[in-house]
Amino acid sequence: MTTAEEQWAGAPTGRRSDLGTGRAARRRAAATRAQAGGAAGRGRNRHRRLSGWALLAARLVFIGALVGLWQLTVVLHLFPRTVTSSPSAVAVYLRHALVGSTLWVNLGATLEAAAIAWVLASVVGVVVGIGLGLLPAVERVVAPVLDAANSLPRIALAPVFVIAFGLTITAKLALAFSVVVFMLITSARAGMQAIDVDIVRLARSLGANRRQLFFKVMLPVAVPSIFGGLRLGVIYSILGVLTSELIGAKNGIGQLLQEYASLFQIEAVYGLLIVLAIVASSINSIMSWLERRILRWQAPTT
Amino acid sequence: MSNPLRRAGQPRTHGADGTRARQAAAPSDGSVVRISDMDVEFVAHGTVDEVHTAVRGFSLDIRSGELIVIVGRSGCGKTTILNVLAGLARSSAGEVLVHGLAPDRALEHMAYMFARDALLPWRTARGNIEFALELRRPGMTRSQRRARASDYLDALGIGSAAKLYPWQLSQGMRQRVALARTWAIDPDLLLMDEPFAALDAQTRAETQELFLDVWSREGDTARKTVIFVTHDLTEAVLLADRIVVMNAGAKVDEIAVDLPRPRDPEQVLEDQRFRDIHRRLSRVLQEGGPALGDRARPGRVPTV
Repeated sequence: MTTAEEQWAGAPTGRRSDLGTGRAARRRAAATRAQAGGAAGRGRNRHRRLSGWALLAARLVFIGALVGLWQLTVVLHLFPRTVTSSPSAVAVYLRHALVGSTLWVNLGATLEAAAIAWVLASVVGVVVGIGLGLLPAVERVVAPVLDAANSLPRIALAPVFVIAFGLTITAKLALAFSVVVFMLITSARAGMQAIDVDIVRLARSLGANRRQLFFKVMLPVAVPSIFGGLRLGVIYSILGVLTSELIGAKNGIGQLLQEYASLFQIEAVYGLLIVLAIVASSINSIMSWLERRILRWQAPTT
Repeated sequence: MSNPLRRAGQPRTHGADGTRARQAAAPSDGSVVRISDMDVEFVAHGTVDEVHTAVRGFSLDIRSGELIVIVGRSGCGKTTILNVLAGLARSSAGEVLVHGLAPDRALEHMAYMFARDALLPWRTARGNIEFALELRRPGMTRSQRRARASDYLDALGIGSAAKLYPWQLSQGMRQRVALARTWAIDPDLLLMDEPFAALDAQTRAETQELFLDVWSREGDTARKTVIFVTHDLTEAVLLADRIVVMNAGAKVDEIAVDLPRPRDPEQVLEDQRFRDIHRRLSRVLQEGGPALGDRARPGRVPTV
C-alpha cells in the first residue's frame, strides 16, 4: 500500500520545510493544535452560561412564580369564577384523574391517532418532497398548488372530515395528516434546494453516479431541514387530532375537553391542558435530543 | 484499475488497496492535455436562442508534470476551460483530449479543487477524504480508506484535526483538508480554480508554500500535471512553469516562467525575471480592454 510518506519519501527537494520533520512542520502542527484547541475552547465558553442544576432550579422558580401569580388572581377575585379555576382546584382534579382510567384511555386515543397521522404524513411528505426536489420540471408545475395548499388554514377542514368519516379515528387521521403532510413536503423540498453547487461539482468530478450523488450528497444535505419539519410535525399532528376531537369524536382528549367545558368543570379543562403541555413539550425535548445527536456535525446556532 | 494511458517510468508501487497502477505508455505526442482550437458556447439561462461564447479558438498543449497557470479577469473563460476538462461542460468546436481521451472518459485521472473547500459539512476532516476515496477507489475497504485518509492528513500537518467537523476548522485548515483529499485520490491531472482566493494573505502564502512543497516532493517523473486558474499575478509567477493570459474568452499571451525551482517566495519577489514577467502580465491584461463579464461575446475578442 502506498502511504503518503512512502510516496513523498526519497524525493529530493532540498526544502527546509520537509513534511513531518523540520521547523516548518512543527510550526504547522503547533498552529493546528492551537486552532483545534481554540475551537474546543470556544465550546467551553458556551457552557459557562447557566446550565445543569442551576438552570433547572431557575426554571422551577419561574414556573412556581407563574402558579403563584395564578393563585393570587383567584384569591383577589380578579376574574369571574366561571372562566377561572385555582391551581389548588386543578391539583385536586389531577390527583383524581391520574389514578382513574378516563384520562389515560383518552390520552392514549389522542396520542395513537397523532402518532399514526405523523408517521403517515412524514413518510408521504418526505418522499414527495424529495421526489419534487429531484424532478424540477414536475415541481415547477405543482409548486403553486402546493404553496396554496400549504398556506390554507387546513384546520378548517375538520367539520368536513367529521361529516365524511363520522366519529372515527379516520376523521382524526385525515385532519392531522392534511395539516402535517404539506409541512413535510415543504421542508423536504427546501432541504433539497440547500445544496452547495461546489459540492455537486466535486462529487461529479469524482465520478459519482446518480445513486451515489443522491445518497452521499443530496440526502444528507436535506436532513436538517427534514428534521425541522418532523419536529414541528409532531406538535401539529397533536393539534390536528385534538381539533378533530373537539368537533366530534367518541374518545380522545379533545372530546374530554369538550365534555368538561360543557359541564363548566373549568379546573378539569385546565388540568387537561397542563397534561397536554407536558406531553407535547416532552415529545419536543426527545426530538431535540435526537436532532442534536443525529446532526452533531452542525455548528451550534447560538 | 490498470490504465494503459499512464505515463511511463513512474516509480510508485501499488497494492491491494486499490491504488491504481501508473504504468504503460504515454500518448504518442507526450502531452497530458491537448486542446486544439476549442470553442465553448452556451445558451444564456432562461433563453432559447441567445448563444454566448465563453471561450473561442483556444489551443493549449500541456506536458506531463507541467504547472500551467491561467490568468485573466472574472468572466474571461478561465473556469470554463477547467469545467470542460472536468467533463462538467462541453466544447462546441475543436478538440479536447486528456490522455488521448474525451474529458468525460478520463475523469479518473483528474481532481478538481475550488476556491471554497467544498468539504461536506456532515463529515469530519477524515470522513471527507474517505468520501473521495469511496467514489474513486471502490475497491478499497473501509479500514484501508480510513488509514489512507489519516496518512494524508498527517502528511499535510493536520492529523490532529482528523475527527473535527468543517465548522470547527479555520479556512486555511479546511483548504488543507481539501489538498489532502486531492492528493489522497492520487490524480495525475489537477484542476485548481482559484483554490487559495478565499484565504487571508498570510494563510494564502503558507498554503501556496505547502502546495508547492507537496507537489514538487513527488519528484520530476511522478509530479502531477496542474492547471491552476487565478487572477493573482504574483501567485501566477510564483507557481507557474508557463502562464496563459486570457481575455474575453481568448488566449492573448503565453509566457514561460524560467525561474528555478524550488522557489522561495521571498527570494522570487526580489528576482528581476519575476518583476519583468509580472510587468508584462499587467500590461497585457490592461491592453486586453475591459472585461466583458460573464457574457463574453464573439466579435469583441481582441486579436493578439
